Amino acid sequence: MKKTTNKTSLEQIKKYFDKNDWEPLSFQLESWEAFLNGENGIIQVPTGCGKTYAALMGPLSKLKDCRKKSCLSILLITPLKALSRDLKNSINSAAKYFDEQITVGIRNGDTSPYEKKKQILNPPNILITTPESLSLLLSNKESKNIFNNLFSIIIDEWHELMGSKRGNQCELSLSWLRGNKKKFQIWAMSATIGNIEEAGRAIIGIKAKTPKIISTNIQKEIEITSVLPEEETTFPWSGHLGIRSYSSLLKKLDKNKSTLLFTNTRNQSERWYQCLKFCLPEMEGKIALHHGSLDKEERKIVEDGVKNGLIKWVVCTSSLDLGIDFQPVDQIVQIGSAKNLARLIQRAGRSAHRPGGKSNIIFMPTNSLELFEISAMRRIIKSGITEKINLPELSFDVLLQHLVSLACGPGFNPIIEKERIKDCWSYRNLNDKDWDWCIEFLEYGGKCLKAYPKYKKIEREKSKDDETNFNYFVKDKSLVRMHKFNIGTITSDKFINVKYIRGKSLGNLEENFATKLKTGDTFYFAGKMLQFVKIRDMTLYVKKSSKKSSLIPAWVGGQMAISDLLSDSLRKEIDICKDLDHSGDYINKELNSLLPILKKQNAISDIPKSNQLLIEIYKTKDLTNLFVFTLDGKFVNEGIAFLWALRLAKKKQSTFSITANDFGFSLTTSEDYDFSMLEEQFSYLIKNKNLEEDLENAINFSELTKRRFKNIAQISGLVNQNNPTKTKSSYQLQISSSLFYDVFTKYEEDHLLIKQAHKEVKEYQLENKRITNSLERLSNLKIILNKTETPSPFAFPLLVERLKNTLSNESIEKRVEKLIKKYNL
Amino acid sequence: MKKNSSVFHWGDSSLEMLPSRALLLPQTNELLICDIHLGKGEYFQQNGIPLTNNSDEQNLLRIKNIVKKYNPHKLIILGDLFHSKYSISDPLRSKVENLSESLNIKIELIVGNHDIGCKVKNITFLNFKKSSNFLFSHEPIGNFDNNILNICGHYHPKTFLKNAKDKLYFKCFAMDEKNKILYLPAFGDLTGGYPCKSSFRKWAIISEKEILEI
Repeated sequence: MKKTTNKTSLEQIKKYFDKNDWEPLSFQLESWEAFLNGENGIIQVPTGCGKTYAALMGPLSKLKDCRKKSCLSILLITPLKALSRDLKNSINSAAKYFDEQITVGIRNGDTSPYEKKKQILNPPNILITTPESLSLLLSNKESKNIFNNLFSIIIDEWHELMGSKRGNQCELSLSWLRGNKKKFQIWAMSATIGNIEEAGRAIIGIKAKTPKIISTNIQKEIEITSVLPEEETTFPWSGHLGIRSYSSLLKKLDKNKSTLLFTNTRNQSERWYQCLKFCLPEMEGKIALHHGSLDKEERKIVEDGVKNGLIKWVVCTSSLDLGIDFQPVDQIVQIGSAKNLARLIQRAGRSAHRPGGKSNIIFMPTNSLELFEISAMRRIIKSGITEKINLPELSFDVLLQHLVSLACGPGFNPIIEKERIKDCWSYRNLNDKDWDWCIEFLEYGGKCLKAYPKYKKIEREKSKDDETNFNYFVKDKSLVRMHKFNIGTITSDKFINVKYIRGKSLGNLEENFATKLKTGDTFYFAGKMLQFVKIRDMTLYVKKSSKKSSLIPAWVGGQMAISDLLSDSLRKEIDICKDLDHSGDYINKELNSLLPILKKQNAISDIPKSNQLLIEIYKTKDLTNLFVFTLDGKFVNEGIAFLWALRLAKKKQSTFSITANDFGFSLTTSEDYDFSMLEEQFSYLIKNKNLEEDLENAINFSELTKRRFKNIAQISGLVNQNNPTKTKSSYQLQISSSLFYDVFTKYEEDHLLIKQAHKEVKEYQLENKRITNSLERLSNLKIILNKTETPSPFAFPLLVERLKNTLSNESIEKRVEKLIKKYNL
Repeated sequence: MKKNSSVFHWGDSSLEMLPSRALLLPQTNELLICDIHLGKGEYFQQNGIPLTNNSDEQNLLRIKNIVKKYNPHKLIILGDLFHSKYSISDPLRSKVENLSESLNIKIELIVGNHDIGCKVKNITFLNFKKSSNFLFSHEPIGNFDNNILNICGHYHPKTFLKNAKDKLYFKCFAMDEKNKILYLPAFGDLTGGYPCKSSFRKWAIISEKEILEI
């Protein structure tokens, strides 16, 4: 019987495709069949191949047979609010084919409270939501009933959520749904990643039957063209955003074609927008700026402008990575290194939204060494290797937030809930001790009960039928309100709104930048010259200005390091070039244009072969600079730099300034420091023994953890980002996360959230594992130690960087001593 | 020059700024502190945020230590002794009420915005206080005589030291010379701070024992 219904369902889906003159692709057929057979799984195909239809048609055909009015049946989770609108439209038209009565709703941060209330009383059959809004839905007293008829969950762009704590948040919500509502099928859609089994495990839990993995052999061809320097001397060696070579880029672009120009930071996008507008006055009105700090309305105008073709070129950041389902764009430009392959492929994917279509991307390097990266990326794509995306594990801050959400809504029984949570992939290693700590933390505030006499967040309530059983609830209504207001794992620094004095809102800036402005200062923001008028109530008032200024705000968080896979390939690229031969088999345009620079590198110093580690010493009048080219990512290099600074200082006392980039790192110290002992000390410098301990001592570790802790404090609800009411009482609840950090480290040694901050610094910031691997690799290399008369081309970017960004490895007392020197005259 | 204390002259009075975040007036033998925010931990706890109240103990101990060390005739608190009237627990109340007797000293509290509604025994509550040279208040009061210096709390002033490579923030004493206002640093451990105007004269507290005029 079941078989035949499946068959008719499948026929129906095919008919819908027929009607639209579409031919189902094999992975689509495979997905529909798997769904109709009751399986769970993950669909892994490149962007723009029709995976939404693959995941959606099965559930839709099933919905037709069991639809009930005002019952939620299909839940669709998407990472971006901006995707919801387009998703709704495409679902709507497909749904109407099956059943005119099917209702589709959106629930996210932009949905009005009225609409949300209506959805609770009268849920749509299909709900499109974000991980944050799903958590919020769980914190609703009605949540148990809302999901009664749910039979399918679909997660869109799962690879995008997986790499962050939003993935954890999603997993936890799913674990609760699994526990309360056993029969539903779950499917995720993902771009091609290296650890797809893990990704599939994460959505269904560790106990369930192995999920079905549906991949396709559709290879999207990507063509990368680089903007090469016209003369070798015009090429910037470092920083400066490559803006000076804009004219070479313009020659490659067509003004009438729709174009996205991706930059890596908001600051960079503002600069390029300013530059292009100035160079192409005839493009006025056809070129626009789009980044995450611009006002929502402003962004929507740009998005609509692109859709209806009025706007041709958009300078943007990752804000448009997934973004809006534009029609395919004709030209894609990547300005500066994309740092990892997935991002480059995603961006390139915007140029062809048809299965089998070819996508093009133009790469505009911002420093010459980035050409190596592009050359490496092209080779990786060709070889078909994919990167892994790792889900953060045991994030206690997210767990605490989840538990409070449950306690605000349906309540939770600690024994049952623990088992559900341990079923999540990223919490599978949760031990009883840590679980007990979490419950204690929420119930009593912490281990040292004497210090928390007035604390209560979650409270026990005995269950009606069994005296020994109890559930936890949040009873204080104001706590519930506060918690709901702060659900989410995306944290940010304090932002200040920017508004015209006459009222129109432009976007937001970081507080740090705003406080530095004086009345009358002009700066460039949202593509406009603005003059600062005043700050009132977290709003910065501005007016238009005709004055010129080069001041452009910077937003924290723009830093990225190249991925493991990429750094590995980068070393191969340099190895390819070692012979400085223009005719080698592997030499391509990029490498060819790098040869003059490499020749110079070879003349001043050396080009390291794959079995060599290049170290350079360069002395100036009063400083000695050590450059080490490990060719690992920036953060790994930073970690090794700190390690070496500590270990060198143990042998010979000195203090070092540290700079790092993706190529290597530099240690700078006084001119009389003798680095020649380096060779005999090398095995000590790269020793993996005591690595963790040395790193903790080496770095201003507490500074780094404090910064990490800021986000943890916000997610776990210690510090509230948003206050529902700006009353006096909320003012009295203002406290900085660094005070929490100090108090916890002082009075409660074993605080799990402090430990988490330590772990995050080690694993995600310094990337301990990569450091360990890197040191291991270095131990097999032969050192080339060169004393150079002038900085080599490889060293030059580090030297420039040193001037604007250095970290110190000294204690607070030492730093104070240095700082007060000039006052001690 | 970093010192163990910094002396500042106003008319014929001298004011000694101490790194223990207190101001000593040697002529009248008065010791001034402000912004202790006792009960802050408990106020947070009541609102579902687990902040320990251990720091109250520390703050009271530090008050005892400076009173023993300088042996003043009177302790004047320039406001915000408490964080909120809702968070004064019985043990905290009795500790504060015993302070005057155990230290054998008169204690006056200029009522700060956080102290509104707080009632404790053995401490004299005032709205502000005048002496020949000084005006003590919690928040600054404008428009007063030329030769009078307004000494107040409330702002939790902070300042930074920096060079080309580094920048660190410290609590500080801050003098607004134009308006004749001296802001004291917040005494409490569990308090944050705000950067003060660049035109102010500043004395940074760089450690528990050292102060530095910038």
